[in-house]
Amino acid sequence: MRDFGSFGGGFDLFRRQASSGSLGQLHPGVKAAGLIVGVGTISLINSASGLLFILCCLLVAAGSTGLSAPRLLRPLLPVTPFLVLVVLLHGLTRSSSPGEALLSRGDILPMLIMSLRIITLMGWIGLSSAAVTTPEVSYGIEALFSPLERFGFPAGELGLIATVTFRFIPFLREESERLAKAQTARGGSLGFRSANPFRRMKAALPTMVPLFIGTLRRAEVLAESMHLRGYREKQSRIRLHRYPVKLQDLLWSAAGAAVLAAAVCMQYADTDARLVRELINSISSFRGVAV
Amino acid sequence: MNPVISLRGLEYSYGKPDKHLPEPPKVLAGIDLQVDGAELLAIIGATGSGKTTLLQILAGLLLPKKGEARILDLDLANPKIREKELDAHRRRTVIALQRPEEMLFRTYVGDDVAYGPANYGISGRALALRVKEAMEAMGLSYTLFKDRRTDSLSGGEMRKAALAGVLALKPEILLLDEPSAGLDPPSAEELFRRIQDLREQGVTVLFSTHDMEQVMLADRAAVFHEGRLLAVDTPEQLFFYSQIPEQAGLLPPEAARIYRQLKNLGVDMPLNKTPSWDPESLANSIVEALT
Repeated sequence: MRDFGSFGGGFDLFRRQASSGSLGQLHPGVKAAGLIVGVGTISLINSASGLLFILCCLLVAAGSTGLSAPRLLRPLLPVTPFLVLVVLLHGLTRSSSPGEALLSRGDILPMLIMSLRIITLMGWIGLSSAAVTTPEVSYGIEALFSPLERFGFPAGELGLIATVTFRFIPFLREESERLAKAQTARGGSLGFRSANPFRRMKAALPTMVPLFIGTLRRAEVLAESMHLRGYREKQSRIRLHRYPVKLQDLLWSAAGAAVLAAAVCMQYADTDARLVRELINSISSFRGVAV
Repeated sequence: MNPVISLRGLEYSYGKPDKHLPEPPKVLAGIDLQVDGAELLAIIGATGSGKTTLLQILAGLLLPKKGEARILDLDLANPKIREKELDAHRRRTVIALQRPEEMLFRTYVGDDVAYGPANYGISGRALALRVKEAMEAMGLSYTLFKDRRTDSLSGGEMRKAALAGVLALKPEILLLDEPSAGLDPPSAEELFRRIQDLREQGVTVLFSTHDMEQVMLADRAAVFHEGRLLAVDTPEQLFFYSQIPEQAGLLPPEAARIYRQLKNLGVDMPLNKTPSWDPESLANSIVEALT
């Protein structure tokens, strides 16, 4: 049976220590830009072969930085039911008439693109999260938007918001665990330790109100303490840790841009048709063997 | 008669072993402790010595990783232990976590105190009587406080209300994690008077504290250091005649330090008598020894 001590460290969006490979050593601004540009491009690409190409490049990049494929695709786990649902919906609501072949290009391609897009997106986020630490995220956001500061954009404040937000993630976890313990000790809300995620979710409901109140109280204390330590809006800030831009930052940026550009170009070449043809052939031959 | 608490070779570590940390550090190791009946046992040690973890294991919130932990004839270390058994255990062995006032989550004091017994099926007049008894045992007038909002209470009143919520379960073993932390000396003294009353009524009380003067009120004290139990003895024996508290990074009460210093200086204190820890009695002993 699991106890409360087993739940520690469950939330792992960004790491406390970046991966040791060259990707982990990159400038935070490059990492932040990579994440935003990558997610944006992958969301817009409408080519299965292009997405497959990015996914392959992601696996190579992960391998070169010492990350295993399961670790890279770990963010995919929570969205797996959604992914299966999307694939099933596409399969069940196909456009071809009963007289046509079982799987036509028109049926299979949107299904393939949708699944690949989700997998690639999660892979890209997985690689980014493994290479970025929480302080780097806030620094990266600030570095990325700092050119806009001259137009009045609050880049520093945005970075600070990210810092404070990340500070609250472990607090929320500790606070909810404390509330769960307190209520369990008085016979309430059983099921916190259940392996069943739905039962755990149901058990967590009564902790929501005190958790919300506790978070607001903590936020108020944090805001007061920041003001007491001299925080003023629109005041330029300096950081203790600075990150110089190095050659490897430029090389990785160029490589990333080239991969994304190649994937976009594939959208305009006829690579998807060949990919789908090969897939249909292999499915047909498999069905023939099965029969 | 079976002991109330029997721990043999108890071990605990937080988290699960993984590739990066094959063996998580042991927070508790090789703990042997026996409590035979109703007594007041102080759990002392520096921060991070394992006091809170031990209390949470005894409360059934954490489950031992190794060894034996038999509490009121239930072996908590049994890997096949069921949630139902733990639930029954938590009804008899109740914990008040650190900062118990944060356990309050109902709007009105009476409702919050009733939360525990109501979870165990007590209702109607029996529930009202339980709440009244528990509140008055903690020095809160039932008529004055039952309809008071929990957020309108002072710090000391909140602490009493939270402890009343724990007492309302009528536990056989009461576990208090730093119950007097943050209270002013008169409130802490009053709280300990009430804890001593509970012991007189046959409740086994284990409390952790950093206040060595409070430890002198206990029947025995268990000294923890870096997850290991160094000694279990009477507070007088530990503080007046041994160096164990210092080994655990603790500072004995002033009376004990004065007594030991006088002994070092050759003042022959009456050793046949148990030294009194309160300054007045100690002063009398000193005068007696010097004249």
